[in-house]
Amino acid sequence: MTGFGPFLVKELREISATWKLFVLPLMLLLCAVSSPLLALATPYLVSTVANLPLKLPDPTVADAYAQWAKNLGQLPLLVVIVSFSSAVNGERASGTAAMALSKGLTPAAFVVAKVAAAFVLVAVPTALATVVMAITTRAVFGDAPWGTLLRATAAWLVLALWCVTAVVLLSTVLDSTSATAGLAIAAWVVLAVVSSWGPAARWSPAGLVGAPSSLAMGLDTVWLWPMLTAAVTAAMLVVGSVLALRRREL
Amino acid sequence: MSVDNLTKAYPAHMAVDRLTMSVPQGSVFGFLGPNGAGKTTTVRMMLGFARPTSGSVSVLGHNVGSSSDTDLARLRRRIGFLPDVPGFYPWMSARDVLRFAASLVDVKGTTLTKRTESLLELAALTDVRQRVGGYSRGMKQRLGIAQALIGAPDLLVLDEPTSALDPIGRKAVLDMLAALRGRTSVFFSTHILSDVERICDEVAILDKGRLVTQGSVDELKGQYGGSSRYALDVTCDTARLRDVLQAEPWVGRMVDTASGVELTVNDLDLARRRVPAIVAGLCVGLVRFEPIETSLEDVFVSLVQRDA
Repeated sequence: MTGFGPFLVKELREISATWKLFVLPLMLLLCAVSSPLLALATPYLVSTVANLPLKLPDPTVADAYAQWAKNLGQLPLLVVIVSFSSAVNGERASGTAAMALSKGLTPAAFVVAKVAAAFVLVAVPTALATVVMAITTRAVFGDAPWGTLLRATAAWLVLALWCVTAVVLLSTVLDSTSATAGLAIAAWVVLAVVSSWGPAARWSPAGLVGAPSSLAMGLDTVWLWPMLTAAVTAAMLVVGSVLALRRREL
Repeated sequence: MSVDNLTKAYPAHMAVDRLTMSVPQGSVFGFLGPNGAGKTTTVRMMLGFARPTSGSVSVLGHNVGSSSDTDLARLRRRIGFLPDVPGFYPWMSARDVLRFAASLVDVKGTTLTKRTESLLELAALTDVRQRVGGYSRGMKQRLGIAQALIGAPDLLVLDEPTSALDPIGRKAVLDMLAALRGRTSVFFSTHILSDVERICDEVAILDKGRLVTQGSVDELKGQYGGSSRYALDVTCDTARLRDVLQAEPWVGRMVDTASGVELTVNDLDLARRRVPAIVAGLCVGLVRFEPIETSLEDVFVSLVQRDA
């Protein structure tokens, strides 16, 4: 792992010097602020827009959390995928990977520093957005139980980090950034479909696709095995990326 | 550094074909070849960025192909490398680039500060506040040379280091490379023959992936250029001079020039005796009769054309 420290510092500085610093955090903050408000407004919107004479139940904290989990599973996850689709192939194409590796950086340090910086970029804004979500929910509904919110958000975070490692592997194997993003999104769709199959949802990372929503609504959800298998397969994906980079010619 | 029977074959073509050569320690070594000769591929294999199809590369006592990641990383820290198209993070400044490169090769403290400032000065980038993304090709190449030197390497590998530089920048870089002679081995690939002629101790010429020749510049000139080409200039009547010379058995190839002929001489003693007599016989004035010094370009062109 020679050169890991300096390269990680470079990666973190790169995040702060480029658009990456803003896109995902802003997206997550938007979800955090809008989810409770959207939950509050949903009954009114449904009755007015659909013009139904129904009396919908008053929104609750569970609705706000469900909305948060649903929002997280959409645009922010796509942003995560797109943000890291050029992680390795972008550096190979621009010649910066060769420049850094020629200074004694090992392929393992290169990949692990990329993944670590990506984890920071995803985890820190997620933590901040969770706090904002709790504050907004308390302001709107007068209550915001931390346990449910943290469990739901943690399940999404593990899924997002797993996606990061998968995208980094694709970015190492493929030359094209757009092919990487396209294939990663396709894989995400497949994972979502597979998650509807019981055994896959119980025993594999696919279970994390629906877990945030179930946990947000306080439902009894199997999350331990999906989390464990996600952690193990994420480690395997990182090892795969290192091996793939070692084999690539620069 | 040495390469032994190094071969790199792609499905469509052979980039490097059984290349064997060695670079003496402390020398300034020119790696010459026309575009597409296989120079960059060879450099990439030397650094371990491309795998040879067969053969081996030994750099600073390490076999590049069989080194572990850690050994290869350790070796690369002793090498300063400038690729043909240097890649930089566009959001960095020149100072950031040098500091990042220094952090990877573990240069710290006052050494880092001093070296960064002197290399920025060498690259003429001290006062440039622009980000690297806005640099011209020449600026990037100068920065590339500076970053290659940041670790005070034992071996400097430069792929076309002067191709994007203006004459002043080129002179500065060549002077700096020449100054490294004896302390750092310098291996640079180029197709700019005057650069090689100016500073290189030894030269290898590559064509179509194969080594055509290797030796010192003087050796190559002596071996392939010879000293049989002469310039003969007269005051007038060059047409008659040419007609007379054509009949002489010691005259080989002859080319017209503005004030005479350039001729290849087969028998120098005979030529020295006959030329004044011929000129006097034509009643024209002799302006000059002297050997034409063979340039590296002559050697290069003759070797590459012969190979074709």
